[in-house]
Amino acid sequence: MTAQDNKESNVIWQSNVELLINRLGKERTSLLPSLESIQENLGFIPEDAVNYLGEIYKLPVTEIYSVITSYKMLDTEIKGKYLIKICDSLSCRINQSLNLIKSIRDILNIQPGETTPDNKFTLEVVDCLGACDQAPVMMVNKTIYGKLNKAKLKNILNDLQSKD
Amino acid sequence: MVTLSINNQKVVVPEDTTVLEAARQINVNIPTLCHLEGLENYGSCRICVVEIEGEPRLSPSCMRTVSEGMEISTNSKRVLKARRMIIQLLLANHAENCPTCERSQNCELQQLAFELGVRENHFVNMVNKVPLDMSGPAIIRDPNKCISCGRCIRMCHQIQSVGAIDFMNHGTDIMVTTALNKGLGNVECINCGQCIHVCPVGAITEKPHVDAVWAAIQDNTKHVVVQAAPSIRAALGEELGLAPGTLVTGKMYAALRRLGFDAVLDTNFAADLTIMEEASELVQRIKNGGILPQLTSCCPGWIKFAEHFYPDLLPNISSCKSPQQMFGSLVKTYYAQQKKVEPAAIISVSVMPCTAKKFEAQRPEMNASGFRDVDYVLTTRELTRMIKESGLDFAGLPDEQADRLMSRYTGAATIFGTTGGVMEAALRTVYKLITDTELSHLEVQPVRGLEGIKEAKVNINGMTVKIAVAHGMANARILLEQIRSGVSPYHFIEIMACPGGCVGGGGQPIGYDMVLRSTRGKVLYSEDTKLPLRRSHDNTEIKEVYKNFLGEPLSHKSHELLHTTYINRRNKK
Amino acid sequence: MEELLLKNIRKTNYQNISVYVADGGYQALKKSLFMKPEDILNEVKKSCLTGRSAAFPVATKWSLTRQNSARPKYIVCNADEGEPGCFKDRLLLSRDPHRLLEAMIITGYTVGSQQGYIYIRGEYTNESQIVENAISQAEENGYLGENILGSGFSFHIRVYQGAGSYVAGEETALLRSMAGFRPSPGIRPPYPVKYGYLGKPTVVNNVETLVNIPTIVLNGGDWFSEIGNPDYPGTKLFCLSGNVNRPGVYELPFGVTLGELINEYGYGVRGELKAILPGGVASGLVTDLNIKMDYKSLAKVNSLLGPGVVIVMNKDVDIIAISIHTLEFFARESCGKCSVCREGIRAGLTIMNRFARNEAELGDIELLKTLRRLMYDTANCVLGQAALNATVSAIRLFRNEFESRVRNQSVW
Repeated sequence: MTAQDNKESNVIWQSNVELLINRLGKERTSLLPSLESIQENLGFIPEDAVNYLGEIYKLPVTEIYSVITSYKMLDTEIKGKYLIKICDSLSCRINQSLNLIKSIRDILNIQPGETTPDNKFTLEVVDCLGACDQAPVMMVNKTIYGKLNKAKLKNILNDLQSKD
Repeated sequence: MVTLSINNQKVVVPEDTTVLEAARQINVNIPTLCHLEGLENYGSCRICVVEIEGEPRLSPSCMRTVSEGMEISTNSKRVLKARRMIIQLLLANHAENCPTCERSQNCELQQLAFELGVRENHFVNMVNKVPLDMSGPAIIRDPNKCISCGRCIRMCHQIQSVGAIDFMNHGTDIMVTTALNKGLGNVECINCGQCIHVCPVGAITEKPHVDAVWAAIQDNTKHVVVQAAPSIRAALGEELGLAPGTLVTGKMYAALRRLGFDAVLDTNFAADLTIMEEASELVQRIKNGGILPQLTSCCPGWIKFAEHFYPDLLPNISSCKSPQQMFGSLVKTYYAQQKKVEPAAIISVSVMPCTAKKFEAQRPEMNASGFRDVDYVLTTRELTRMIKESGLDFAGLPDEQADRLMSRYTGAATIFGTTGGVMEAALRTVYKLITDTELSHLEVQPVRGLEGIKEAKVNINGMTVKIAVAHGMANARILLEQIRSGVSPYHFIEIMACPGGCVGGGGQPIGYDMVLRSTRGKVLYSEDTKLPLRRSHDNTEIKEVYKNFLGEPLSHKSHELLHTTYINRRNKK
Repeated sequence: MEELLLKNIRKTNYQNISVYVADGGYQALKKSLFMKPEDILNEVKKSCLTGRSAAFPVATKWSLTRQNSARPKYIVCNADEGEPGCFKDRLLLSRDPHRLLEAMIITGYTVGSQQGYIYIRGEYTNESQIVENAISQAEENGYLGENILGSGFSFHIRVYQGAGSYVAGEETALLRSMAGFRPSPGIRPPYPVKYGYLGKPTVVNNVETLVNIPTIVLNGGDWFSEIGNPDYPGTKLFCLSGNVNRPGVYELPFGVTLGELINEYGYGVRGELKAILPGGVASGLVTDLNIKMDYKSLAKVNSLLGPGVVIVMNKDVDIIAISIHTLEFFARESCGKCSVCREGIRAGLTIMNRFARNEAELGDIELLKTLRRLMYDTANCVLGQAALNATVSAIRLFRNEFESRVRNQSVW
């Protein structure tokens, strides 16, 4: 990210948090929505944002990090443009999710938890996406792909690769 | 009132009593680990589980309030078996290097394992080694020993209102650490060390200077000078065979001399000096319409707290260095000159009740003499170990005197070690400075004792001087918020970071026991009454140092050597 | 049988309030607003409706909250469907959102609350959007908000989006999550009916439980109590997945046998049946297809119904690997606070990995059972209490597979 980008994205998350707090109040009950909003805007929660929330909620930053790190969908590090969540819950495991994980590793050359060097893909292995009738499944950003096999997976990844 | 039965014994207790408290009333001690008197109940360790008739599962007695007709067993087979197994589980994820652990002699986990009859472990050790946090100047954290009881977190957040550490992550990955795992040296930690007192195991310890001090003592080219803080003499005997509440000044000097220090001096001298400077500064602020209230500056934990959280109030803080640092800069100037020793050859060691003093000693600006004011800081615990390591029979040592030049002290100096003491000491000299007469009644009872915030009004020449005293940073915060919002009625506020003041400092013998801390405080108050001189300005060595070296309080030289500046650390380390 | 819960999910555009209203939607609310709250409570009581996860009587929970003099009171709908293998709430939220809103408004009216929250699982962002839209529509049409339908009763609903935490599905953890704290289960008692959201009396019901309410109000408690199994009136949603030919959500009466569910509705096992987890990863494995799917019958075989998540496994499945898989799930998803849960799971995994490497001792089998007993006895919440259920049930059913991985058997 360039300094300019950084500034602009700062403006976005900050004004969104302000709007949200105006609506929900400055009490701690709006902390999680604020964190989610920043995560949604930036794809992660930068240190600046945590310091900012610390001032607003009058909380030590550790307490905010403690909350952040207790949720899987909140990150303190930036992720790839496409966040691939591959489900490895029991229903998917029984339906060969491990093979899928292996395929993605082979195709993108990254391990679970890693991001491709071009920052395009991040691979995460998750528990249950709530689509067990279509096992095995994965979610890319907000789209669910079900009844996956190697060929289907390849197609989806190819499509995303070719997109900008 | 509620009537219940515990181990078939009838107990009648008030409604909101916990089962744990109810059991104590009939002399049944239920073992605990995450629970600690003085901290909020937490209910995570499950050691204190009891069996309640009619319930399918065991219940944690620290969290469970009594109800009418409860039938409780605290020692049924099921309960005892469960407790043993929980200890085994905790031990299995605990770095088991007990013999070499700092807390080997006073580890609560070890003690529980022994008392609860754990003589084997069914579970193999499964510690996943992670690096120690050595980033801070004063405190080391070893996550491999941490049992996630959360006592340090509750201390840091609730009593100290700092919040440098918290639980991060979840599941089996949960750990106590700093924000983004930056390390204690890179966050708002004020180095107060109260977390060390509440840690049941050896997961938090001070950064040791013992070996460096031994090396200095054994180096014949060095002149090693030692100073000991006021509250050391009220606590040092505790782990050396003397009853709590024993004043050990003379034995302390004797021990230090036998350890091989070249000069045994006393921080108390510098406490009197601090009063001279700080009282003069207050009088000047009052007379010249300076910024008020003036805040004391002898506690380095509080100073770092202010630098992080109240940088706007830094102008309120007295510019006086703490006694440790005043002593340090004089040792390498005045002392060197008088004793004809090369300052470069002097190693300046202090014995402090405090971990934050280790931080203070390494602050870059603490070198007005051109040398480090203080080279090494030993805690009370470290000195205790050195005495034991040397095989000294401390209790049997004779009472000796300290060496001359920077060791004589008044009663005002010795009470520095307890909450309210600095205030009381300062008033004795402030009165003299303003009225040129002596305060007749020296004791200021309202600022004594363990109340979190204490206040008093003192009439000086028709002027009412309003003072307040806070110990424990959560208490101090209340007074600081008042100043920030412009409603503080006070002229002078004393702040000490540790509950109880230095007698409860992070370097004192382990334990968060406020009764014991109060006992240590009383030792100092009692020494005050027994000393021939009780006002700092009466100290003959103080008179000498001004006459022969400094000139007068707040002189140019004083400012150079005895005063300091502070840093805004907001969002910085 | 007639569907009570899924009856609308195949209808088109049902998320649209005009479609919902045209189909008789919000009639139950209208009726309720002319009834006395205690009369509604009485109908719910007569219906014998129980919570669809822990089988606690709904009327009892409501009346305890209603009786409490503290104000305000809250209604919280638990839509944090995090159980692996569970995908039923997703259907209801996305296909029939107004019925849930209607149910919550009635609940609020009955217990004397003016504020409801729907805590929706973090991963369900589309569903949250649908529910948010439904809330706006209901507000615009006067079914929600101030002075509902001119009755003088006001009720507001807000969506609270989770952020990816399984343990947040535990009701006290969920309330802590909403309050901005780590989602860590509290110590009970006190229960949410007394000390809930922000310390106030709170009704927490899940989606499947709540959507029954409008039907009960319209048709009466007696009518409902006669549907399905007399011990547990109404219907239950079963989420069938794993090695089964037709996975999906099926609405059936309590007491249906596993065989019926798997064979008649799921079109049979894919491959040869090995074992079934009848109540999700926290339940104990079973192999008997004649087992009835209700709370008592499953408890008898040391298992549990849980949220109605049925995962079928065929003979290709390695039972040791599956036990480890469930334990790894709990190791990640425990809140980590309570020592017994955190260290018990860690120890259980260590032991199970010895089995996986063929390095176990025979004593390890007993050790796992003792450990499960300890965790059941002393862990703070159901996650820790149940974490070893699947493992220990696997030992009971497939002991030979465990024993075959023990080394130096003769030494013992």
